[in-house]
Amino acid sequence: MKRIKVINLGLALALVVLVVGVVSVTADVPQGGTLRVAIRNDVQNFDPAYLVDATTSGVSFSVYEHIVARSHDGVISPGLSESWEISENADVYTFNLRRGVKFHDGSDFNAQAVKFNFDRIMDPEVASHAGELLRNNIDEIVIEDDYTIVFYLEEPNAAFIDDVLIQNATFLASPTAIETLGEDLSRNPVGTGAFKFHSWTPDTEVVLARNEEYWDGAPNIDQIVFRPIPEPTTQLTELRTGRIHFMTVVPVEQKAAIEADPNINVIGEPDFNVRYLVFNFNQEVFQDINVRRGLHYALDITELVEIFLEGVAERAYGPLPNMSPFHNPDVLEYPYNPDKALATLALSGWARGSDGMLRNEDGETLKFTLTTPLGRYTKDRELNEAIHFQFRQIGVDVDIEIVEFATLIDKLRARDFDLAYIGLMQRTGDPTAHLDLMYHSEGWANWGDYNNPEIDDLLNQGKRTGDPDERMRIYAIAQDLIMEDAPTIPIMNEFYLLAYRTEVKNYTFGVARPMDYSKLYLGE
Amino acid sequence: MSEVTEMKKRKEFFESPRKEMFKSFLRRFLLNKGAIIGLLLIFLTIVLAIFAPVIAPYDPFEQNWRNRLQTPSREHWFGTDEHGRDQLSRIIYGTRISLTIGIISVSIGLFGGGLLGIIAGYFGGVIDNIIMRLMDIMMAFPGVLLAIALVAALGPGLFNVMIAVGIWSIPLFSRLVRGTVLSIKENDFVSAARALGGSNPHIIFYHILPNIMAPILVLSSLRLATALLSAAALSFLGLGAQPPQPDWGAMLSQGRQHIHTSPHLTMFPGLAIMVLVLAFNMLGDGLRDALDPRLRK
Repeated sequence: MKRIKVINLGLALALVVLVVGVVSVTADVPQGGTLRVAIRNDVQNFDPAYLVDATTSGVSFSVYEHIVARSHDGVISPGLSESWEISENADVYTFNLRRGVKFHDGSDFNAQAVKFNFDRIMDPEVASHAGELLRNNIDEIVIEDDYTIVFYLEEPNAAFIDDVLIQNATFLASPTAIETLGEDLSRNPVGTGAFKFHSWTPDTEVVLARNEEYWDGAPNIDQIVFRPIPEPTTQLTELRTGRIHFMTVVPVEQKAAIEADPNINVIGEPDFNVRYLVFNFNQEVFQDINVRRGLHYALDITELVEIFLEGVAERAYGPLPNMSPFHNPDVLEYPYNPDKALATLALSGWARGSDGMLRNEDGETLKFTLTTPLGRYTKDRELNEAIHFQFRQIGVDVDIEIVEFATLIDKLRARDFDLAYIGLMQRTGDPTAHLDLMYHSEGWANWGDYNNPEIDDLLNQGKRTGDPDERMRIYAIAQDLIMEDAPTIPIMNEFYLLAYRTEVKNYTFGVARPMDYSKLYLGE
Repeated sequence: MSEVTEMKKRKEFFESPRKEMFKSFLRRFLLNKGAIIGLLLIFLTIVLAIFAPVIAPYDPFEQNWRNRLQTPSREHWFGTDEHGRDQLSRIIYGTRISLTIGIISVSIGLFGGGLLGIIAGYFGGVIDNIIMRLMDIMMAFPGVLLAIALVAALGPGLFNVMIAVGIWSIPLFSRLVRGTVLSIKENDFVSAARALGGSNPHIIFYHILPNIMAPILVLSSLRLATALLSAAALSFLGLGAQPPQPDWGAMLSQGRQHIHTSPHLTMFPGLAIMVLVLAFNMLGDGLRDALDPRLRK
């Protein structure tokens, strides 16, 4: 509903533009005002080399920029680079930088500035958290001219921009500021973004001011004040009373209550995440494909997500988030069918005994534990209690174990689980950020030790291919193969939830840039 | 006078006070309305627990998602929970869990604490000192915190909660038993038994144990109430019963998320806990009033 409201607003604005016949909307837009945004915790360290936490990253998004930008839906798009070329086998990246851009301290943005930033992060003495990743990927950075810079890679990587070039450590800071401020850069960021850093009062507020010189047009509002408010309920009270315009963490339980408030817009949109059940291949029973497939057929995932998630998530189709540009919509599915589940399990000798439990020839039951975190993912316990029930319905001897998220991670790392409910959240839909981690035999999020050489080959191939269409084809096959092999049961893609007051106009939401305040203005 | 009648008379002389005492206890207990109500409620709970499959209108584990979060109705007297399970059936089955928790955890406290208390009180000296200082250390922890720490170490689960709540009760029982033993062992009949050559186990079991039963009985019934409440608290924190067990504390915790829209999910399990805890407390108070001669008016 709220989404429709936003669209209507957009249509109305477009109509006004047509009728009045002005070219630009911004000319008519009220200027000035202070935007107030609640953040979950205080910011920490603004020096890109040491910028690790999500809150500081979100605030920095208005101050710093990357060499290229991500559009609202996560597609790599022009920003500080007007264009770029990728060599055929994805090992040489050439960026044509935008001319006339200045850092907030007046120094010029150019190829030398970019190289200076990357050299610094890659310097082992700087000890940046991203140093090793960059050193492993980048062979050499060459300045071709003042506005052309070339990255030569150690080995082909089609996801180089997504995986390596866009992250917290690669925010571009003014080289002059880095040299003159030294350690003070951590409290005084200087970038090229739409807003300049103004002040930071620890535990109270961070103030950013409009950058009049911004290359994409100066913002409409004068300043942004970020206030750390850890309690979601307090954030909500502040939002309702109008003391803040944006709240960044919307508790799902409160969503309905917030939506009922006429002064608040709520946005809930698919995000780049998949919540899924992962089979541990170290357990003999799960090495059997019929068991994995049979259990998949036993779950009515569509119904589960519809009933328990109440419109804050959508069913996952396949191992990639549905909204990923690489998502294969024709991926193999396992529609709910208890009879087919039993028939599939019967292929491996599992049959229901007189007590209704599935047993093999030795009379053993199909016994395992379903481990789920509590409160980490929306409705995780409710969902898994329902999954537990559905498994029980076809006679599976399954127990449920509810643990703290930290305990779950320990268990996953130690491979001390049978079937676990877990998720992966990324800021991009590129398969390297998802499939490579979860399904490649060497991926760090391959908790179940799934090992399929065919999948490994496809993923390696996809990473080495520069041509987007060819990549699309490779990953479509990979998704199909993964579903066929069923090393996981994808359950849902959780939505990104955000709420803001209706005074805020012309705000465009995008999961890849939820904290983009450069184009909005404050109205009635 | 034949020797037999002589013996009989002597027996009567010794036994009549005990019989008399029981009669007067029963008289005083039956006059206590609260205690009777408590006893009846506990009796009712036991009946519900034993005949749960017959009494409960539905399968407490049967989920019916399309029928979730129903308010109380003719079909579902206590409404349905977030998975569409019948709340009344779950509460009826929950009596089994609650009674088991109460009985097992109090038994652990009773036997562990009782044994330590008797040893400390009867033998005294260094043993007494060691045991009681250990008990003091345990008493220094805030109760629920100790139970939480124990469950954290043992891992979540109903059985571990029983152990944790039981261990937490040990110092209380041991202190009570030790104190009572200390006063009883000074009695002439104990000295007499010892003079007649009674062994330590004989004296403990035949002369001391029967005389400390009354305070133990009172503490046990009061402790049952505390055990139930703490187990519910631990389940509420997610440390106790694991789903889909129909534990009252867990039901309370899970219903909490829907408290604005479906208050019946928290109200009924909450009431069930309250009633049973109250029943044990009333019974315990009644027993204490009836057994303690000092309270006699």
